[in-house]
Amino acid sequence: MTSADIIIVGAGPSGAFAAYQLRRRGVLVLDVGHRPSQSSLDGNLYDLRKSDEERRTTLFNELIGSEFESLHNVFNRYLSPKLKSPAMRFVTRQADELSPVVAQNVDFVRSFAAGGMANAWGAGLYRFTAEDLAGYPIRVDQLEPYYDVITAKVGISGVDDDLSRFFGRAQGLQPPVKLGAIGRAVLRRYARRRARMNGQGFYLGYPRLAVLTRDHDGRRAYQYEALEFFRPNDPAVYNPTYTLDEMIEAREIRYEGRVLVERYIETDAGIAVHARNSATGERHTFTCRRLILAAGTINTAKIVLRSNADHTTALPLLDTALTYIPLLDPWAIGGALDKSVYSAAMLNAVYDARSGAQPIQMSLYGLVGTLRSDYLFDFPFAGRANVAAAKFLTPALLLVQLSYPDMVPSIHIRLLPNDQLQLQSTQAPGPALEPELLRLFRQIGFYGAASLCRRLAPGNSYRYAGSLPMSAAPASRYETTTDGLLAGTRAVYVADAATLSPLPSKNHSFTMMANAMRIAECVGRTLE
Amino acid sequence: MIGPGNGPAPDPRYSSEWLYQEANHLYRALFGCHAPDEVRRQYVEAIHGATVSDLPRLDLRQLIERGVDLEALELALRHVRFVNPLTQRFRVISYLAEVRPENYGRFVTEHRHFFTGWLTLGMHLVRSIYKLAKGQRLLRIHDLC
Repeated sequence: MTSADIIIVGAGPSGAFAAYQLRRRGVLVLDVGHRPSQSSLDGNLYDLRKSDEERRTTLFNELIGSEFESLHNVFNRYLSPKLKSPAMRFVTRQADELSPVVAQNVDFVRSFAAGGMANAWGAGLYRFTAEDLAGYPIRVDQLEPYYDVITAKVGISGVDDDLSRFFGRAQGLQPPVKLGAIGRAVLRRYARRRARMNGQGFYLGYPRLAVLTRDHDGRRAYQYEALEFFRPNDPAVYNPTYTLDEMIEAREIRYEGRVLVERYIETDAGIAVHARNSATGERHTFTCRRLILAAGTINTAKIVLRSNADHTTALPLLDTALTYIPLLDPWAIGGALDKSVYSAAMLNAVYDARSGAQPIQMSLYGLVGTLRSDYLFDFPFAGRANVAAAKFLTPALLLVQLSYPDMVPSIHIRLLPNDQLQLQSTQAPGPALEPELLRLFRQIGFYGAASLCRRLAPGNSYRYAGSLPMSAAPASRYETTTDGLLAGTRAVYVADAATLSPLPSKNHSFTMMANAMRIAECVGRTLE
Repeated sequence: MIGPGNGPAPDPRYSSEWLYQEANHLYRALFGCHAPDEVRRQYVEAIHGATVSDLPRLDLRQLIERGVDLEALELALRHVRFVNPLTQRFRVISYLAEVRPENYGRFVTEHRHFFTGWLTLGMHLVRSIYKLAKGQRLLRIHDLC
């Protein structure tokens, strides 16, 4: 039996930063912890694709995969292009095997990788504002110090612009990631019509990204190789494993991988954490004085339900419904490839015209980082025309990802008698803003059609939250106090997005990390 | 959904020899030239390992042997049902072709071609309308609607 003062379950963004706050305090991190294999990709994606015969097999294995991993979406349930490429498959490896789920009307993804879903994130880090925290029992000033610590640690690029009123303080930011031609065109046209656009509630600016544009903390600046979809762990794009590995190396924390935590039992003597080896199935028990659950919203909910042997309660699950809006800039048709850009979100827009409603955040992408075959047959033309469209239309395409806030949970998690999870959605489509946004983008010269907008099935945002919401006065054993303490327990804390509810349109990764540090500090105080 | 390798008796539509030929027909329909040997081999492997959407009446082998215009048929079929075995096979060919250095110029342009772009797309639009009409006729003739 292994003992520790504090056990943290999970090493994603929340687990890593809870551990960071409590480093040198007797922390043991338990994690399945899949890691990526070494990538041989070195250089720019497009230069590599033109490479000589000798490197062709290697390139095929990296881009398509020896088991044709990149063809996943041809035959199976949709997976984000970033998760399906061969080198990124470790992010979701073993998820169905280790924790089977019966899903009804929900697409979902879980990760048992060290670093969790942050291995495949777009690296957007946005502070929650007072407006975002409406309905929460905590205030912005309780999170701000942690946002600042993380900003200094991680290195965030961005700029003080029209979006600062939505994204919060801009101090300590590195210069923004440089834009490609289509991004510059959007920004230029927006600047010319700024007053008019703002009058209609439309704001545009740079994203806040955990992507270095200057060397920082031993990590080199981003090299604009457009390999985000194929190569894990670019040192310029922050990954929680960087912080985790630093702490392990400096012996500030202990870490045990291949550990799948199943449940805990709290007694007067402390907490027994029951787990099994994810490779061999061998069972193991750990003991601790304080337990911090940070295994991800869905996995944490499962651990709590299993610990309570509860097969009846349906826990809520929040998820920001996603819509993709393809837009075309006619002047950029036939444009030259912009191969040296960051292939995730290059700009953000916010729509804030509806009185009383939450602002709606959008991420704007060019289609540089993926293979064109990923969307080739989404063009409505014949096969050869689609190939021509991929060549001449791609430089003119702007993909807007629109995230709807989730204020009332419409997905529920239940533990079935066989200990599998059931995820069920009863989500009815909310009010559609797409026609209004198409009208606004038309004013800056980008054209689209409502019929081409695609709303993804619930769960596809991969931004889950709210299964064990925090409350000033918890009313059930499935709520947490503002300090993260799970109601009805003495020393079991929840530090991941399970505590966050409601969920604004904004990406909640930064708040997850800051809140995990805040809760970890509360836990630390109880041991003093 | 059925897997090509499943079932009690081997289906001739999924024999390696046939898939090897099928790859060439699809490649030619998409790019207007013969498929490299390596792409054909990769195609066989990819289809064998996959779960292909089944459309009971679609016998691709028979259609190819009759010389049906696969590009037209695929377009019409895609407009009726996005997930169908013909589009899936075209998508596989497209992935396998795209990562080959010799096809780089088919998918990517590194220089600005504004007028060529518009002209090419305009031409392809007209051609696609013709192909759609032809494909819809083929669907009716072969009872695939």
